Amino acid sequence: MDLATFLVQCLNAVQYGLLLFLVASGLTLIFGIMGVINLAHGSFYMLGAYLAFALAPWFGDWFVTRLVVGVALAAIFGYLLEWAFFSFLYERDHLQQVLLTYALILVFEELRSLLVGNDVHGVPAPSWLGGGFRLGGLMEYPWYRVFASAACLVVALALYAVVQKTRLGMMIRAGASNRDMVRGLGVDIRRLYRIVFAGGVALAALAGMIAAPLSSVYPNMGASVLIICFVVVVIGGIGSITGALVASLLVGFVDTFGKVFFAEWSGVGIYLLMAIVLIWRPEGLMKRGF
Amino acid sequence: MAKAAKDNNTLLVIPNAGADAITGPMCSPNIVRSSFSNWQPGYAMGVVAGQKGVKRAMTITWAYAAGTESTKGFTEGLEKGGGKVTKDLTLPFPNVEFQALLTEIAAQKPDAVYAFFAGGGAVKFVKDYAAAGLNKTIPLYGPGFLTDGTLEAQGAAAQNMLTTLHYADNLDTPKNNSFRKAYAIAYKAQPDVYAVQGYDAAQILANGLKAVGGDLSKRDQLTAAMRKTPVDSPRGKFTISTAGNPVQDIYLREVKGNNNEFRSVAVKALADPARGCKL
Repeated sequence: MDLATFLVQCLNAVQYGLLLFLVASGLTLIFGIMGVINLAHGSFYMLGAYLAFALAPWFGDWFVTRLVVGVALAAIFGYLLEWAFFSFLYERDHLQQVLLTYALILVFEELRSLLVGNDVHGVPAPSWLGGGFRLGGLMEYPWYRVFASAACLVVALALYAVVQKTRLGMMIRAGASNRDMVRGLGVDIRRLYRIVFAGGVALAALAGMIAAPLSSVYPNMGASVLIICFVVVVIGGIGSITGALVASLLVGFVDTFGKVFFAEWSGVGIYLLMAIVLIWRPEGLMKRGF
Repeated sequence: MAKAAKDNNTLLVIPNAGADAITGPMCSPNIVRSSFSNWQPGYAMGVVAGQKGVKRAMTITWAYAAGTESTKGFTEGLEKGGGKVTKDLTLPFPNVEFQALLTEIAAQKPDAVYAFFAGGGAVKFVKDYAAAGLNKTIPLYGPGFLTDGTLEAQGAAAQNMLTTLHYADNLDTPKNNSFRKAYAIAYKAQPDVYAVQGYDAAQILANGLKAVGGDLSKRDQLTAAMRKTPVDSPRGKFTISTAGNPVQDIYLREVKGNNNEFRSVAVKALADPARGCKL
């Protein structure tokens, strides 16, 4: 492998890793802050992708507007979903959480089938992000992928800013370490959790909306994303956003270079990495607390 | 399912599943297929690629039976024409992150690429291939499944792509025209290769029933008649091999707009080699 190809593969790895981070950050927030195993997280990713498909004809090239509207809709949906279902789960054990969220996956898939059908659909990238630039003499790199990576980085920075530097972030961090104390201090923990959940759903939907032009929308697209997300969250440390970032990039590299050197065994590589991390550092790479 | 039908001597007409094994080691007089074997379109594409002067090709697919059987067919067809496959790229099913392998293809610079994907993976691969600018320098070939039912989603990325399949939407024959018209009136949609296969599965069964006058107890006569009677299909006339697979013309199609249009016959009356079948 010559230098040019190696650098391009690194670029591929980083881009994949960043998109993974965007999806996984929502999961780690919900899992880490609220202690809820949310198997339906992949369905929220799918929701975002199908939202992008549904909103595309209305917004045309106003891509950023479409993203904002989609995220807002997803956040409202997440808020209502938490109020209706998840708020009952905090006191329950993990098995019941798994059962409820698994049922939600099935419900969402059927709803998708009824509302949109089972065909594969393409989502066009906005024309101002079309085309690409040449990477040496090798191949073209689409501008849209650069935009996707940049968007993920912006979200990562925004997440860091909110969680570390704002009052809301402080309450989230406090609620994660000691729920009852926070309640005793007069903070409405239920509303706080509702906001965090809505935020997690919005992040997953945003990831789906950004990924839609790259991956197109098709039935069951949430399933494979979900599993990789859990791998990322476990490797990075449950509840740690920095951990999710580091783990996503690691997974991106293992997946990309694994494909080049190990062909179909690359699928094993990611889980091997997770197993090694679990043996060496069971709490994950970063400690809870960002 | 083929194994269950074989063990229980149940009559089984297969309208789609392309696994080579069904008319290979699993073949049985009571099992007939009206569709294709994974090997057939792949082999035909390999022959076409060889005729176009492709000397070094790469294949890419998921690591599962349908993918490997299809690419093996392509490799056989290409080698007949004097070319060879330099590398078989695979990724775990149903992984759709192709960037790493597209970069590999760009680095190796083969004369052509043969890809087998279906559904969401097919849409993503064709789009990613075009987004990487590879379709300008390295032609992408594939079986019809790469572009069947996916053209609306693939859009400009798939235009002018050549694929091989045992059917093309605009075959101008009386049978195909009347079939397409009747289908559109009955179901308010355009038929595709899967509709044709289903229709032919029923025709094959009907041929058998006609020969025994509706008497299902004459099983041996029934299955023999199902195999021996040529089928007048919207795809063209085809016969059925001893192993139970269609011996059919494989067409070369080109993507134009939202259709796969017929260009030429890639291989006439192609029979699956039915390796491992003891009939």
